[in-house]
Amino acid sequence: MVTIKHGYTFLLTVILISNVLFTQNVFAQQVSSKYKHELKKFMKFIRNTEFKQYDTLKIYPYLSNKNLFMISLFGTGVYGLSNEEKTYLIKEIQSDTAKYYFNRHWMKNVQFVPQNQKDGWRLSKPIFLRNYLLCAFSFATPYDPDFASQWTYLYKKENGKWSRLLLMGKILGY
Amino acid sequence: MLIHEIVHAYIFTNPEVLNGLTQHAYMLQNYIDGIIGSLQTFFPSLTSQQAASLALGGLGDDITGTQAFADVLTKYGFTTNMNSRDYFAFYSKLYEYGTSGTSCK
Repeated sequence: MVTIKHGYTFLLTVILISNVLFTQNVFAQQVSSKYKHELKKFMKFIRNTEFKQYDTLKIYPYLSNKNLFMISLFGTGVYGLSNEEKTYLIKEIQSDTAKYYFNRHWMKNVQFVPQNQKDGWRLSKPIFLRNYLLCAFSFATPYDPDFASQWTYLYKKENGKWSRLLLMGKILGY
Repeated sequence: MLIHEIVHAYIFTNPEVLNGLTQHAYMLQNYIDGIIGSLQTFFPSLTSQQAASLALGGLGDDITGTQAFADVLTKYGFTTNMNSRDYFAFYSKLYEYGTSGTSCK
């Protein structure tokens, strides 16, 4: 009798854990696939606009928010964003510093620069807001001992097309 | 910014002064007080913090994240939090966008 009771308890526990894991996994995949889908479209837009002058774009093989988005969270750069959206941006910029490795399908004509070299553009992860209708994105020039600069813009999507909305912040070396 | 470029011109003609530093690192180490003084001579109404903000502008992304830069920020009363209103760039932005100062005509 004790064995049967333990057996039921074990079975219920397994079912419960499986259920939780399955539900979370499905949810994660939904979020992830939507993000990946929007990311691919956005990166294609960035390649064709911000970097259109480069036949071959030299970049690091990952997206990372580390040391990007400088001075972008105050002043005119956050015009129109709610306090909740600003809080979300701060969280994403300051907490999400993990590298997201680049997929070659995101952009055409890119050349990956080894991480120990300093001649690649640094790109942030796109941070989407308002159900993928706004996006904050930051990028910095290849390392130059004297003139390295970085820009952060807010982009908007209208009728399925991205365009620049406003400058959020920039640091220029001159 | 003109003063900043004059210092570059000086360094380009006397590169030995760098002693291994980049131009902006050398400028950070040796010229910020001088640029602040020059700015306040030309524009006496500038506060020290406003002048320091302008003097630190243009040093670029390669140096703004360094410890040397953080030390200078602390010295002139700025925070090292780059997304705070007390970060140096907030003051220089006011001039850049024409909120402070007199716009060029």
